[in-house]
Amino acid sequence: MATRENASAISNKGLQRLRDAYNALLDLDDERGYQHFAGIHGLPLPIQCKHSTGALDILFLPWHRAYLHFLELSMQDAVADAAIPWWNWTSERSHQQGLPTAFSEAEEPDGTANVLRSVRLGLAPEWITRLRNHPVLRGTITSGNPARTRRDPDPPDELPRLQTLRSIFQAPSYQDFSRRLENVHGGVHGWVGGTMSQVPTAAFDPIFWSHHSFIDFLWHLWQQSPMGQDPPPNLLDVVLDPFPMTVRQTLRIENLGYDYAFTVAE
Amino acid sequence: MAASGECTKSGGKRKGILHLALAVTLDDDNIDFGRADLIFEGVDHSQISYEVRVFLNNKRVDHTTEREVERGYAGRFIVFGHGGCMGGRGHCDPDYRQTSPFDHRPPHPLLPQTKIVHAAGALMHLYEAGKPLKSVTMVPVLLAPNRKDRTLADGVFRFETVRLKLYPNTVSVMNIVPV
Repeated sequence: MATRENASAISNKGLQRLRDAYNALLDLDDERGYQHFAGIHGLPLPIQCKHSTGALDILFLPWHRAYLHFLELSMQDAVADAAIPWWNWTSERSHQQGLPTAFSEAEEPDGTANVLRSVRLGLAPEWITRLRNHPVLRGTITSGNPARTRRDPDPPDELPRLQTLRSIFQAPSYQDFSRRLENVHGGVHGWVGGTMSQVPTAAFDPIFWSHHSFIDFLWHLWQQSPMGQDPPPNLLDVVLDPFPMTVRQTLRIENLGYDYAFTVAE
Repeated sequence: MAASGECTKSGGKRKGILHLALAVTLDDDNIDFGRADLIFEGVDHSQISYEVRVFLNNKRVDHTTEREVERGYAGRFIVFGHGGCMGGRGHCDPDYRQTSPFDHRPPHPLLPQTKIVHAAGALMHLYEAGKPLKSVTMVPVLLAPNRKDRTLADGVFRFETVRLKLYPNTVSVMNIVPV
């Protein structure tokens, strides 16, 4: 059972496992690698993430749960017990310093560049060229070679507040909860800016996974709460392509081999 | 319970800002709402990411206006955008697809979205001041990659309809899914 820790209070071992796992996956150019997983959400086409779109909107939470689960399995193939920490952007610390230190410091303790701060984009050169020629998307990546992820965050106190989450937790239906949480989630993408700000590039930024780990954690908490409900029955057997998993199979995280550690005070 | 009326849509003095003139009076018969949703349907999300800040009865707002209920701020919604089409002809056009009973593909990912602003607090603020709801002003703000570009968005926010729906203040009815 892997334990997802608080990114702002992550243990040294957990942080080292995370960095080692991301570095290992960045060295893989096949379907187990970091670039492959980042590209599922965005470029190269097809863009396969599920956000609010017509009848699909309530697949946002289960699709991203499956997404993180499959990345985490690949991480654990490389580094035993590696897990994706969650970034609580409502915490007092986040409202003072913004991104967790582990994701913002320039260097790792050994002096190498911090893999959690920025990674290269493993897209084919023609995609990089198209991004750089694009009036909007060119701001999502660095101008140097190789192209790397970048951020341009807003002031920390602009992050969502705990009060907003309390409101979301009062949602009377699964659809309502999902829509409200997705809305706040989108604001955090915009807050980080750069690579995270647009769908086609967002998942290349390492903070993406910890942002969604927190979204998943919140869904898990809501599921445990008196208000928690499953998605409508007609959706339970929908397959969350490209993952060979149905909505029903995502509903209990204990069946997916991970849990959340949330007793560490911030 | 629903409050609705004929709306007049007009552009603001600042590019991108939209005003809807309404005629909704809340009296003691329909004030017993536990929830008030402004429901935007047909919202486009094919371009750059943006947010829409919604103000009631205050047309003199822009992206710098403080988000406080005293200024009529009702809430905001976020559109996490696809950044424009990166595919070939018809790739990002949901209508390009043929319809067929044998089509088992998932729905087109760029079908328009429905966005909801929970406006009960702002609406109650108006009621308590004895004021009717006269206008809804939408301020679109770019969520651009670069912070310096996070300003008024002109031409990005496109939607088909907006409705105000009030829910009676009873727990059982709160389970109604907004349509």
